[in-house]
Amino acid sequence: MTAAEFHTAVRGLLNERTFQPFVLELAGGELIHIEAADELVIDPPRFIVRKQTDPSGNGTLDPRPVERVTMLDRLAPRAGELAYSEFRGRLGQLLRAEPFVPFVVGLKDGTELTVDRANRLASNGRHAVLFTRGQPFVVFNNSEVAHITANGEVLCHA
Amino acid sequence: MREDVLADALYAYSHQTPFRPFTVELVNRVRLVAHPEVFRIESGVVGYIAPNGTVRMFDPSAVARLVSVALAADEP
Repeated sequence: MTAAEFHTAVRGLLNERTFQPFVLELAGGELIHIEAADELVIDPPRFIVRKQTDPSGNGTLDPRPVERVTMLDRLAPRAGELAYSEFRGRLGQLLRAEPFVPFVVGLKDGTELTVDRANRLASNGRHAVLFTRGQPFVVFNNSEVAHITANGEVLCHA
Repeated sequence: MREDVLADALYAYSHQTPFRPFTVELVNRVRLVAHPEVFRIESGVVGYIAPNGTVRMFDPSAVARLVSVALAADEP
C-alpha cells in the first residue's frame, strides 16, 4: 500500500467514537493487531505503532508491505486457529447463559481452564482472563485456544 | 465506590437497551472503556482486561463514576 492508501484506510477506523480492533495484514503473512486507537499514531508522513504488550514491534511502520487492513471480526482464521468471531460469540453466549453452565477452555499447551462462574472470566477483543481465587490469573487469546467444552461436549475447536 | 454500588452500576450500564459503551472513570482520572464482559468483581477486587490483553486489578473504591461514551466525549 502506498502511504496515501494506508492513511485513507486507517484514518476513519482510528477516529471512530467506539473503536473496533483491526489487523494489518502484511505480505508474507505477518499480522499486526491494532487493538486500541492509540496503538497506531499518524504523524505525517510517518505511521507509528505503539503497543504496550509487545514493545518489540514498536516503531515507525512502513505501509508498503501492508496488503490489507481488515476488521478483526472479519479476519479469516489461520490454519489451526479458532476464529475470532467464534471465540467472541461462544464466550459471550456461555457467559450470558441463564442458568450459567460451567465450561472448560482448553489451551493448545494442554492447560484446561475451568470457568465455574461467569464472574471469573473477563474478555475484551481477542483476549480473555480467568480469575481464580488464590491463584494467578491466566490471560489467553483466541489463537491459543484448542477447544471450548461444556458438559463434555466440544462446542468449538481450533 | 462501594463494591455493591459498583456491581449495581456495572449491571445497569451493561444491560442498557439499546446497549451503549461506557467508561469507568477511576479516581486518578484514568478512563477504562467498558463493555459488559471486560469487568469482573470478586471478593472486593475489580478485575479489568484491556483490549490489548493487559489486566488491571483494583479496589472498588478506586472507581469514581461510570459515564456513557457519548457523555464522556462531551465532557472535559
